[in-house]
Amino acid sequence: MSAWSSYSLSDFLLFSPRVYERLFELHNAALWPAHWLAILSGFVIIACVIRATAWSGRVVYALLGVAWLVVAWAFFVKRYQSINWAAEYLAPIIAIEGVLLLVLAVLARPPDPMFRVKPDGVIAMVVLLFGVLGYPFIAPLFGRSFQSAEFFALTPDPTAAVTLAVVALSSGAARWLAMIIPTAWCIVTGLILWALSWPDFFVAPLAAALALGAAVGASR
Amino acid sequence: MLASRRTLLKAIAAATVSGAATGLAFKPANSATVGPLQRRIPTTGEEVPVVGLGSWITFNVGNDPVLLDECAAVTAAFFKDGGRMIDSSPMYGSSQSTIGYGLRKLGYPQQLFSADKVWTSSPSAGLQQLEDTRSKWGVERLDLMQVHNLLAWEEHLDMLKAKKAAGEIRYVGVTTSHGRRHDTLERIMVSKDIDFVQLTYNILDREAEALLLPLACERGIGVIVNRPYQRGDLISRFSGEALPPWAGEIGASSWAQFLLKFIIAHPAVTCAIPATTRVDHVRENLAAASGILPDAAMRKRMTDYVEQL
Repeated sequence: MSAWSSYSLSDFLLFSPRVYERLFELHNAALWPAHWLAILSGFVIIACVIRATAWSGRVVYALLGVAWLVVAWAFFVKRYQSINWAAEYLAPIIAIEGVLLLVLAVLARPPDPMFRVKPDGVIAMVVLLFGVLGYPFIAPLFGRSFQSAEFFALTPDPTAAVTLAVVALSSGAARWLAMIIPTAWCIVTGLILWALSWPDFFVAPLAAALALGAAVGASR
Repeated sequence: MLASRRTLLKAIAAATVSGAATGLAFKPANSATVGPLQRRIPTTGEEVPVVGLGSWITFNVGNDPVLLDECAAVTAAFFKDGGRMIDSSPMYGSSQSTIGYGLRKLGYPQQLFSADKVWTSSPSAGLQQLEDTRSKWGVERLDLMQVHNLLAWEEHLDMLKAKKAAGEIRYVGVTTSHGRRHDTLERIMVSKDIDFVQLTYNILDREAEALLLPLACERGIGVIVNRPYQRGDLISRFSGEALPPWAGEIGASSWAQFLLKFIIAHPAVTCAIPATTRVDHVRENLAAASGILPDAAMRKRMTDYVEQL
């Protein structure tokens, strides 16, 4: 039997469920009242997607890019790294996604996220609304404190869900590039929560799967 | 050479399990003691309590002020009830800093026996990691430094032995867990001059009994036991089951004590290092190191009992 086959997922977990929950509580307490700004930016993204204008793509992708940079710094560097040394290596990857989205925002022809009343458009829109408005209720719904709620632009899971939904509503080949890191994170966070025995481990992977499905459907 | 040694050690191990009188004879079951039982470190004769304190997961609390104070309370209770050896690693997130926080708060108790590790695949990074570790603990000198999970063990062991020779650490060792790489561990124990090995040993993971524990006795190497409760899984697994009616004969009033007494009763074991976030649990663990320990026949009875659950 090789040494690697003797490892289980929980062997890679460095912290307890209580520590991880309190990490989000401390994160929220430290950033308050930035939550209002985060929610507002989410509403702006939703509005831009519903009422697409010439500037919608630039605004939406710029907001997403800033959100990922905020998450890279405020969550991964300043918070998560205190309990997981791997955050040191994850933070640059998260920041790369932010830079990529900002680059897309300033392209001569930026992506044009737009809600269309079609099955794939509706699915992506549901994921987008969930990422902005629904994600903060996941923690209390699954037995954790509301103080540990996760918000778009402040924590990675809802930020990934919103990004994937927006990208699914966009056209152009570059959008697939923008989906790689958020999808990977949704898988990673699902594994972390699974190892923690948290019942909502499926939420982020499911959001990613729906958004990816919508993107594939829209590309046909 | 190694094969014949193995044959001999297996014969010794078999004789020990059967309760025969050997150099590995168990402590008598009626040997009541006050405070935690002490074991001698073979290379120096220094005594340490047979139950220590691990920090894997439990002390990785980041900069959470509430959880830092809870860990400090666990550390305080550990020292108050006679504990000495605290074990950590750079791999354990913020655990080293948490230990340092507790020690600072407690005024650096004199009885501390600090055990930590080098954990890096880069041989050149080991020295800096050692200094970082010492700084996080906030102590002038670390007592024991081990090569974690045998990562770049040859280079790190040379470095640690040089540090020991210079008086900057007192003991050196190597670690593994989950029963991994026992063949390499055996080779190191046979060929290298080390003070400690750290390995996984508990009532269900008894692979070390066959070769490594007898070898440690023969070679005069201290043994630190990690995962005594399989990271709590053993206690969760047995918590719905009744303790055997004869558990009182060895002074075990809980599954934790039952499981811990099984481990520390093995004469090759120098110190077991259960980790916990709770003051009542650290006291329960240290209490298991007091009073009666099971003899060979009782240990056999204990394994038979848990295996049929």
